[in-house]
Amino acid sequence: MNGKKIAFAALIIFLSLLILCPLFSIFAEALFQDGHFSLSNAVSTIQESENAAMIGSSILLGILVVIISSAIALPLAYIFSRTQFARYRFFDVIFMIPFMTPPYIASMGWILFMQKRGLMQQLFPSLSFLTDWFFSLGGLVMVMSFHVFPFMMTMMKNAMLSVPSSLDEAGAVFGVSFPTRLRKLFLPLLTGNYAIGALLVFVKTISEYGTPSTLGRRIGFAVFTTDIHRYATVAPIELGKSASLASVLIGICLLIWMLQNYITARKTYNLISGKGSAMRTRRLSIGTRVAIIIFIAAVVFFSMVIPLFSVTASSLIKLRGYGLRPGNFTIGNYIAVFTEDKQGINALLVSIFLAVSSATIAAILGTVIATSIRAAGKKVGNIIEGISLLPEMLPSIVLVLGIMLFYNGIYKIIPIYGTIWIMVLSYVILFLPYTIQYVTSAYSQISPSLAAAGRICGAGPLYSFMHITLPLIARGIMSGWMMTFIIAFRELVTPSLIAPTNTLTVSTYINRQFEQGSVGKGMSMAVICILFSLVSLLILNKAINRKR
Amino acid sequence: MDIQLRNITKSFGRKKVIEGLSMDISSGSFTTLLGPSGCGKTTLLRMIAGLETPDIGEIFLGGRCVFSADKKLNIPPEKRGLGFVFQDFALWPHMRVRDNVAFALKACRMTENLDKKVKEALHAVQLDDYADRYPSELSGGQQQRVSFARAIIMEPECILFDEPLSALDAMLREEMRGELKALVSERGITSVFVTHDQSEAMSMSDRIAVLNHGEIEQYDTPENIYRKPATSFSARFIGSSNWIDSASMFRPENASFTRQSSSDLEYKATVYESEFLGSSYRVLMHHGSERWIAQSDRRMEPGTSVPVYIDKNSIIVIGK
Repeated sequence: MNGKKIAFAALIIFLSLLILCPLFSIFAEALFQDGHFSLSNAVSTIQESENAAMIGSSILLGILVVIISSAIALPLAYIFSRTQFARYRFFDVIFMIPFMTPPYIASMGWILFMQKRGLMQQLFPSLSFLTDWFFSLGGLVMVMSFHVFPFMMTMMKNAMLSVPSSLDEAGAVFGVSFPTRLRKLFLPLLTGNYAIGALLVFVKTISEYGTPSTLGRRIGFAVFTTDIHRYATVAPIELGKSASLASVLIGICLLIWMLQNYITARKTYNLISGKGSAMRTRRLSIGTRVAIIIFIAAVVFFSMVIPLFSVTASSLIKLRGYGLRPGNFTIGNYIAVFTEDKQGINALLVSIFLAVSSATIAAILGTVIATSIRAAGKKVGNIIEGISLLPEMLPSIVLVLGIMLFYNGIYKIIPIYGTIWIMVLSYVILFLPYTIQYVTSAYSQISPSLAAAGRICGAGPLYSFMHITLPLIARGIMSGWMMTFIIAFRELVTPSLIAPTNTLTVSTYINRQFEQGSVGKGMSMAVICILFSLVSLLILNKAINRKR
Repeated sequence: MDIQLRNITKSFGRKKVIEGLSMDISSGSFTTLLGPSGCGKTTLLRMIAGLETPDIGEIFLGGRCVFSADKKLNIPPEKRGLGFVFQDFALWPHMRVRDNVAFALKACRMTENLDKKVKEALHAVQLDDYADRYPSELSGGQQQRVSFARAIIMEPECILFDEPLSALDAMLREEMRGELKALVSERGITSVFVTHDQSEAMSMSDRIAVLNHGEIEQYDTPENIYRKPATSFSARFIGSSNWIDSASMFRPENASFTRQSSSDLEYKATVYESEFLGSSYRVLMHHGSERWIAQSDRRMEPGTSVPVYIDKNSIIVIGK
């Protein structure tokens, strides 16, 4: 009994060191000046007109992306849950593609497509006037919305699917017209879900670093994440300012998460679905069907075809000046990535090393944590879960800044700052929630009596865990490993902030080639990266769906 | 194996589930813990198995103390040598039937004659041909048989059953009662059976403990509980009861609409419904504020006032 308590206490201390200490380092950096507490530094940072304007534009960006992604996601959610299009399940996978494409790669694709003498001007010279519009806030909002909309679409689609058709049928039987049913019976059940989805999209947008650091930087649109990065890395380095902005961002994120929890508790309904709740879809007129097909095609075109075509085409073009014309195609860029110098191949190897090692450590640690959450009882379990899921709630740039400050501070005790190990550590912290969530959901599917039956049959706790529990959660652990592996392979924030000198990963390699004009090589690596993600994701899907 | 529970008390948070409960279960008997949901019967069973820990009290299995709060003794479930059949069967979905049944032998490193023992256990539950199936490939009844086989393979002296038939449909449930009873009585296994179904309890048990709010209302043979309920809860929970006042009642089968003997007591009741049962009618009546039930061979119209005759000796007076 006591041994158990000590183990949980040790785990909580360990998680605090891992996750909370870096966060406290940020507050300390923001609030302490030469050893004394002082708010003035933080306050003056926020009051600087440049920073105040940045905060304003971050929030504006967040709001605009919520609006545009809602306009894309809500109709799609309805189409794929409540109309005859719902049976085309393969769209679930297709609409994951924009979400799975690393945002920095998608925005590079857009830049290459839209810029002066870019692919669009070559293909459709008459559309050249769009270039100026694109390189403005409008273009940034569009690119970010086309990245994030699948998230809201999936949420809203599931919410709509959980409303049983019988509720609508009951309304119809009692003589309520379709528009009134939609307004009075259907939408009120979804407002809570929509509010949650909108808040999450907002948090995701102001936490995003990839698109603002490529497209945003090109048009001089600064947001939280890019400024935190700039103050922490570009001379004159001002860590205090960086930390102050990070503190504000943490505050905003936590506020929104609290709001989200409040709404979940108050405004969402537990819809009972049981027998007879079969979904009956609406039949549509031909005109409506055509309109829907055009809409879906447009979304697919803008969210996938343009960025992916642009990246792929750029990777295959010999001389950019000649553009898309016969004879100007080559696979030389791909060969150059591997042969021209050691950079490309090294970046790949570093990324694979980081992905494998962090996925493995996170899988083991995540399994231990998920198991403890289950074993510890409600109170202690909630503490463990709360701390360990924190990295998912906060922008990665904030966490990585905290890790940088903390391990810089304790370099004499744990000398990993400036080595590859701090990157491994950072990846583990960032991606730990994935494994925890996958394993927790695997646990929720197995009855507690399975392990109890093992004990009754004479198996000790360890034997019972190894032979009964572990095989049953193995698939969850595997999924967590794969997910971490995919995300870690193309992670951008950690290497941009704390990579050791001269260590490039796939993401920073792509970035550097893009910035320095070797677009062909950069985009070749980007295509490799996307294919790698896609193949891994397909394997993952296969593994998850292989049910007995 | 006889079982002794001494002063068992258990709370979940602030809620007391079992309070100061003591009980003896004799070796080789079939004993049922019967009560409504939330009465603590499953908790009690799990405490005997070692899956829950009592706050206070002692538990003895075959004279061996397996739990004592005072002595800080708590033998873990794997060392108590019991069998347990779970409500949801708790078959391991990743193992074939054969491995589910053999698990206990392997866990205890008793692998001698393993195949033969597994075969015998599966034969005992008539699943000889199903050894290589996965649990998901079996019907509910077959799954339950696998869990019986798993419970008997270690030849335990006692098996605990936690509502093992409640997940099965009505037809199968009746059939399995007999099989289950035969399986344990042939082997002389002490059985403790938890259920909320009174007809299951009555048909299978040597003794029934009626539980309510974590306390034993009555612990006796099924016949005695039916004929001489000790408390009004026992009387109401087992069988139908027609109440004359708060302390006296009679069973429906003892009522008649015609006078059988001159010493019969006569009551007035008003019919509000007659239900056709095939061989007879069930007549539902009001007697004051009480609802009565009786059998009749003809339909009685709602609203009719009827005399109800009861033999004086059939009226049960309840102490508390």
